[in-house]
Amino acid sequence: MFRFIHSADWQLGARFSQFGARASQLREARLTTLRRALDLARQQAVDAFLIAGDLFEDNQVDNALVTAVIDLFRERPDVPVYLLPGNHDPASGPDSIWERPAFRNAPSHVRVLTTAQALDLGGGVHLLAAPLHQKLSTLDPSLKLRDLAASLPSGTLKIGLTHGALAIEGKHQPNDFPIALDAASRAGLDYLAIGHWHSWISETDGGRIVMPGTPEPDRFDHERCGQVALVELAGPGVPAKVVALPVATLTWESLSFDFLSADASRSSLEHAFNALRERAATCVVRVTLKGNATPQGRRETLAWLEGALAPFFVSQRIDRTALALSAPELADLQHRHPLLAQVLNDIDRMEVLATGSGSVSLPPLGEGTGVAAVAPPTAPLSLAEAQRLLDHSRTDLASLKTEDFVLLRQVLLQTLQEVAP
Amino acid sequence: MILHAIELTHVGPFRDTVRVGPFARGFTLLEAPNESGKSTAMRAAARALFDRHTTKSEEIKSLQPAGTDLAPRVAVEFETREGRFRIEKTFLLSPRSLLQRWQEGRWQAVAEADAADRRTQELLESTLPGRGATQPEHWGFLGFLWARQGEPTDWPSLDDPTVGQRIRARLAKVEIDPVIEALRQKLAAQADGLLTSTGQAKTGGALRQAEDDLVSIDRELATLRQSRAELDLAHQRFTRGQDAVQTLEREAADHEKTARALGEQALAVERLRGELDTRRLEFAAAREALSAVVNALETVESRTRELAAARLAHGEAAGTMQTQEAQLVRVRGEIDAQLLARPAQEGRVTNLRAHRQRLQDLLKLRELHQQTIDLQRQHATVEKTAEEVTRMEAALARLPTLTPARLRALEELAEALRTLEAQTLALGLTADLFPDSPRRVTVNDAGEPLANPLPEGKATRIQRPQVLDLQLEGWGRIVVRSGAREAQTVSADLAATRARFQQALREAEVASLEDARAAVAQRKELDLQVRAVRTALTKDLGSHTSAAALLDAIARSHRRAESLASQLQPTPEETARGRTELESAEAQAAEALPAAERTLQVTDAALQQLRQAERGQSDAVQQATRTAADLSTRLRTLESQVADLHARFPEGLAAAKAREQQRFAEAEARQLAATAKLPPDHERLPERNRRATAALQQVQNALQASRTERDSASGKLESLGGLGLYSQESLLEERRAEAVMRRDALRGQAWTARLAHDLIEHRKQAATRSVLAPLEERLTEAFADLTGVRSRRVFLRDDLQIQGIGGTRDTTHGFDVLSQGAKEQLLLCLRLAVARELAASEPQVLILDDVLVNTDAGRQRRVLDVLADQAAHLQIVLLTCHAERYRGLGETLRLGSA
Repeated sequence: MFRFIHSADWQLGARFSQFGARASQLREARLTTLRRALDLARQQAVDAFLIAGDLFEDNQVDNALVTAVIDLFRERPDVPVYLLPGNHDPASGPDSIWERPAFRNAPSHVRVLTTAQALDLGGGVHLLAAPLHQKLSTLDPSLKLRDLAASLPSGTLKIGLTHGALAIEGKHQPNDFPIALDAASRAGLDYLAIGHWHSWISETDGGRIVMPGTPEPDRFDHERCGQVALVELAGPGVPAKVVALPVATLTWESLSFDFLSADASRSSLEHAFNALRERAATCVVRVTLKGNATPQGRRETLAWLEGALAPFFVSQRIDRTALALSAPELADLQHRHPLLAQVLNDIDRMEVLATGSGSVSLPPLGEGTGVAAVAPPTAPLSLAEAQRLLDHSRTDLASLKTEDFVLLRQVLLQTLQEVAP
Repeated sequence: MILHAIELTHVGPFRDTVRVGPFARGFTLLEAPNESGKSTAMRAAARALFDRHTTKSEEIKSLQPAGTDLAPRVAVEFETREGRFRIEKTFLLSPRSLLQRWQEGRWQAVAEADAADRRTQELLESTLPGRGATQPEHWGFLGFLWARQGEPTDWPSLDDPTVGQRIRARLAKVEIDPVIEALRQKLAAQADGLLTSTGQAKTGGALRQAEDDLVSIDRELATLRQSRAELDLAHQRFTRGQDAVQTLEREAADHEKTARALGEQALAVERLRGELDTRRLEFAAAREALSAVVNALETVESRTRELAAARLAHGEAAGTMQTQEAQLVRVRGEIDAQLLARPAQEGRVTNLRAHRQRLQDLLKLRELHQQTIDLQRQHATVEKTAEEVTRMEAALARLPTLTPARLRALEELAEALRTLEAQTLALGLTADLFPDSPRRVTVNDAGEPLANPLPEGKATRIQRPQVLDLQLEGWGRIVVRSGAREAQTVSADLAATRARFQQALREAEVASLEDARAAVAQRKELDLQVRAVRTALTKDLGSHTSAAALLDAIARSHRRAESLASQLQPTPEETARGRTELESAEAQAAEALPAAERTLQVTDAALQQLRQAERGQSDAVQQATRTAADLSTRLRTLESQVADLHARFPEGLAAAKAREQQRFAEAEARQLAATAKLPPDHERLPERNRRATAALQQVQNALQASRTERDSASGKLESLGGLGLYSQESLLEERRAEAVMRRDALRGQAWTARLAHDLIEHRKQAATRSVLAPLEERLTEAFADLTGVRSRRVFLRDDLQIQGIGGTRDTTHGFDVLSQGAKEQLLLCLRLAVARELAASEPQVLILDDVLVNTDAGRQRRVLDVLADQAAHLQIVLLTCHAERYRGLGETLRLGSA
């Protein structure tokens, strides 16, 4: 019986630009996950901890991270670690991360497999490694495993280790190291540990090829990730027993709030927040606001959200709401501030001029509002006037989009609310 | 606001307290002469109303009395719709501010210090600058209603959001929506905090900060990406280098193998070549030995033949030697005979030469004596001529130094003198005196005295130019005067000319003009004579340059004759012989000498010939002797060589030759066998080996270069690879994303606020434009009332500034090009219109500080009509130094002490 942990695509040091300064917290979480996975391996008393490529996001991550990773390995000398360079961290030469002093001086239980080789792990078990030396290639890296396996005596347990995309028609790029779907059986391997995609795949080649996915989610829309594979091989030719062990530190939740049904949305969000409350400290939350909101409603919702999102590890708010006034509100506004009504009409006009279509801020004067028109009839804004007005802010009319006019109305009406008695 | 009174202490010309007021509610004329302090008083009132009491600006200091440090104190009593107030401020030294209100019949304090300033500001709706003194744009409505001295045609902008906008609204009859105005101001503040007026990010603003942050991050990113690009480049170099190294290593291995194989082949060939060389040496030695035997055999035969020939030649040489010795003895006998005859011939030639030379020297001595005598005669002639020249030059020196030019000047002066004398005679006084008896007559002047006494019966003429003052003996004094002025002038010219003439004569050293002419003629004659004598002297001197040179020639000739005589010491006979006799003897000697010389030459030639024959014969004897000796030596040598050769081969020459022939054949066979062992292309092997070595070296060099390149790239990769460039880039990208979001948000906020503001402003201006025509109508009517001209309209711009006047909007005369008077009157109309509009809600004061200086008398009357009408609705304070122009209009105030 040979037991080992198979993981891949840790992508340590990955960039999270969309989170700005909070990105470092997300990077730190991935190290925490590695620590957890190693501890799990120790608890399971595994014979090996395989990393099938992309331990690092890039060969050029900083030394502090490399040292931190080595320290994690060093602190667990009873967990033999086998590292395979992937397409993000290929063994490409002296600039490769594997050539850093930290790896050159790594403890003996940490083996970096920078060349294609067959390692005798003892007990009739061989680990056959086909590392990557570049970022892109149309060659199947598992072909080397076949050559390596051919030189080994039959009757031994052969575990393959490489990195690349499964050559599933229409799902992989030709230069993405395509691995044949029968690569394990073709090479006579008992188990082929691969990495590249970030979601769990374990049914390929009769269950002999396994892609465990990234142990730590890095996107809101990733599924079947956040795990490592615990593999048991009873002997040559015996199907592997593979168990997914969850190790992720963070969960990523994407929620939404639609002003179309504000009350229901709020209720739904409150429910979701309550459900997440216990793991808020390890949860990355994104809330997307959409629909037409009244200034008041929007203001209140934003204020509520600010408090509700505070406990979460990282939160992100995407505001796609449009400010909206009810017909009576607009009519009242038109009645009390005729000039503002003209300005809103001008904005409508500009939107039409810029985008060819546009929303209508105000209903036609006197129509359906029950309020008589009070503003004197004015000439619509001409194209030249519109561009002249925009010149004061060095803005080109042609470059404006619908969302810009939404913002413009929002600023105008919000400011109005701020100054209105 | 209207004014009630102003009180000034230590302000400008007012060192004591001065009270200006009370001002009437209608029209008040504040009258005072120029520079008496009218404008200063109003300016001080403005400072008290609008400035902080703590201000120490130049505007405040300018209120201090000239040359003092006194603290200006100003109190202003004014009234607003909230009541009547008194603000009193002391500036600079111990500044203070006190606001009082008139209540219950007395002034009651409302606020002090800064609070008083703020409360006054609220009452007057004025504003404050960030620092320093206020300007008219801070003075609220008074900024528009106060036409300041020297600025009657200045009109502030109506863009000011507080006062200007309100005035525009009032003028245009547009109601200000306070909410929209607040909205406009808030939007303006938002936009202005982020953008400049031209739409650029404002320096110091949040948007500029975000943009700057972004630029800074982008710069860092660019640097970082440059490093990454270098890394990629180094990686490519490394990969290329690595591939090249591997290729070259394979190539080097191939070359090394080839070179090694060729080397082994070359070594084997070298061994075979060594053996061949040995065989060749053996073969050469055998051939040499055989050759030596053959040569020896040939030499013996040759030497034997030579020995026989040498013996025959030696006998012939001995006979020749004896013949030559006999001939030599005969030639030597002939030489001795010639030598005996020669001394007598030589003595005769010598005697003939000495005799002829003495005869020639005697002739030369005679010639020298004759030459000396000739030269002495020539010298006597020269001496005589020279004396003549000296005499003539002395005569020339005695003549006056008068040139023809100077003579002409003298003649011109004499002519001028004659002319003047004739004029004097014609113009002056002439008295002809005919005394009956000799009388003494004296002329009382400085003229030429008369030769007294005058002879009787004879006319004596006296001429004077103007006055003839005569003292007549026995009669008395007679003075005759002429009225002619010309005579006096001519007389003066005459005296001057005469003096110049006399002076010229003195300078020429002649007494008269005739003397001068004679002297010039004489000088000319003498000059000609001197030149003739000098020509004769030159001829007498001949080839000698001077008489002294001639004397030197004489001396030299004499010395040579003396020298030759002492050398020859002629005998008396020789001295007595004539020249012809000497010349005849010399000719005989000359004829005899060549015959004697020819005889001697024949003897010498024969002697020389004999000696040459002797030397030839002697050489022949020696040659015959040497030939005989040589042949004898040769005989001995040949005998010895033949003996030696026979001795070298004791077994006999033929046997030795047979032996060496056998050895030669054996060596030749061994050499052929060694040559057959060498491979057919062994000659090319060294070149092939060299090429292979060179190729290997080249590949090794290329390999070394590739390794160096690869190692260099590797070093670069190692150094760059450890920098964590991706992590650095990640941090920058994340910072950049934040900065972009921040910038985009601010930019969105900025442009939307600016556009929303501008749209509100646009609609306000549109509203203003809709009421522009009625407003222009009102102003046109007021301007027509003022000017009396009703054919012109006043046109306003959208911002309610005066565009100009004219028939239509497109043909207006712009405000800037109007006359000062028209500008004053237009702005007076506008101020009155503004004041009337504002006065509808609060009493307003219109201050006109000497503003109608460019208005003519006709319009002045109409202005007074308008002011009189407006005084029913407004407080008007007019400052002037021409009170007479405003008589009968309202109240008049004069500046005075409180």
